[in-house]
Amino acid sequence: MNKPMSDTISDPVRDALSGPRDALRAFILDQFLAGADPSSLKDEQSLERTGVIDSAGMLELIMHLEETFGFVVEAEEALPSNFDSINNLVAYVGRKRDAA
Amino acid sequence: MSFQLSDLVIDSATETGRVVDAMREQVLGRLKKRGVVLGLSGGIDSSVCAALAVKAFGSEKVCAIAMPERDSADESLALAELVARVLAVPLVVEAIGPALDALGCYRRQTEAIREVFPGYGEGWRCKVVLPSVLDSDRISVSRLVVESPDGERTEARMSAKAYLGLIAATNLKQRVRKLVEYTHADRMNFAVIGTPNRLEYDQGFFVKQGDGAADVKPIAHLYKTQVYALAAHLGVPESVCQRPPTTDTFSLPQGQDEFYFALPYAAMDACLYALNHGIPPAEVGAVLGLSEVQILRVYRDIERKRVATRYLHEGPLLVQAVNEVG
Repeated sequence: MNKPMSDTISDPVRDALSGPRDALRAFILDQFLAGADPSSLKDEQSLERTGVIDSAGMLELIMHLEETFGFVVEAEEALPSNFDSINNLVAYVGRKRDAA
Repeated sequence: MSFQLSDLVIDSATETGRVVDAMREQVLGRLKKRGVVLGLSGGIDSSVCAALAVKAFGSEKVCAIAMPERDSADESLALAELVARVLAVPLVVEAIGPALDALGCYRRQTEAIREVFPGYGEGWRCKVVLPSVLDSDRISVSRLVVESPDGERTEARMSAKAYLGLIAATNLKQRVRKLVEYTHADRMNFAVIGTPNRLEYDQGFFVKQGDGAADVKPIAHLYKTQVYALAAHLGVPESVCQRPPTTDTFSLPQGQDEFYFALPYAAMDACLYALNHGIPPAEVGAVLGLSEVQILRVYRDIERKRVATRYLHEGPLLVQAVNEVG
């Protein structure tokens, strides 16, 4: 019998699974907007067009998603509709978890 | 009136005169230098800049430098020698491979690549590519292509650490070249020419304190197709004009349009010009044989690169202006 997920994953991962929006906001604020007022990051804002995330940042974000949420980001999934705002990221993570 | 490719056509003789006048005023008048140094890569941009410099200052006031290294294409040096010969400019050849080796350029590249392909080593070749922006709205996620000694190619997404490490190591090439150029400039009291065309300048396709560093950039306002027009007017050798634009940076051959730009340069020029002039995507698409959606994707890619590379254009930022020195 498989163990319940809560028994097989670490605390940070469990935190991330329970609140991907907060976890993603915290990651982006910490990695890309150090020192910024957290309220300045809007959930709907384009992360790329507003200069929050550049090409190297996108690689960091993809790896963070894979390591934190335990799924693989396929090349064809690297779309603005999945990655270009907190809202889109949260929805994408939800879809990936549902599909797992 | 609707958009046409001929909108980019310039009067080459008039433009040559304008650029030559500006170079003389800037170098001799404002910078108080006696001539110019430039790196001659065997590509179209540096060849045109060299020809313009000869018109502005005379061949004895132009110092052209070829700076081959391990990953340079063999034809680069041969074409640089040809251009120098045609322009009657003495060519200094400075092989920068040993300097790059001493700085760890190749070792650092290998270490970064091994983060993705642990077996990478002697005899392997590599390049970095981006997905086409034409086919989908995909975000530009860099991918590393490696070729084993027996010719087998493999491609994989890079980690941020590997990507940054590879780019940092590779940027040593442009920075060492600029260091050599300024060494000769200091020696002769010359100014250094930067050779970006408008596409490269606008889109940040240069290395900060590398090929982005210069005292004058005489063709930064000219679209690449206009640079080709000047090349024909100035008598740049046909073999240089026919050479496909290349980064000449990675060990595998790599076109600029698979590493950085969305389209081949002529179409890229048209899109950049059209975006700058507020021309609707559908009009541009009709001329280029692309859909409105595809042109919109190119427009978005241009704007995204402008945002991402804004810092490359910034000089050092001061806490307070020092007005006495401007």
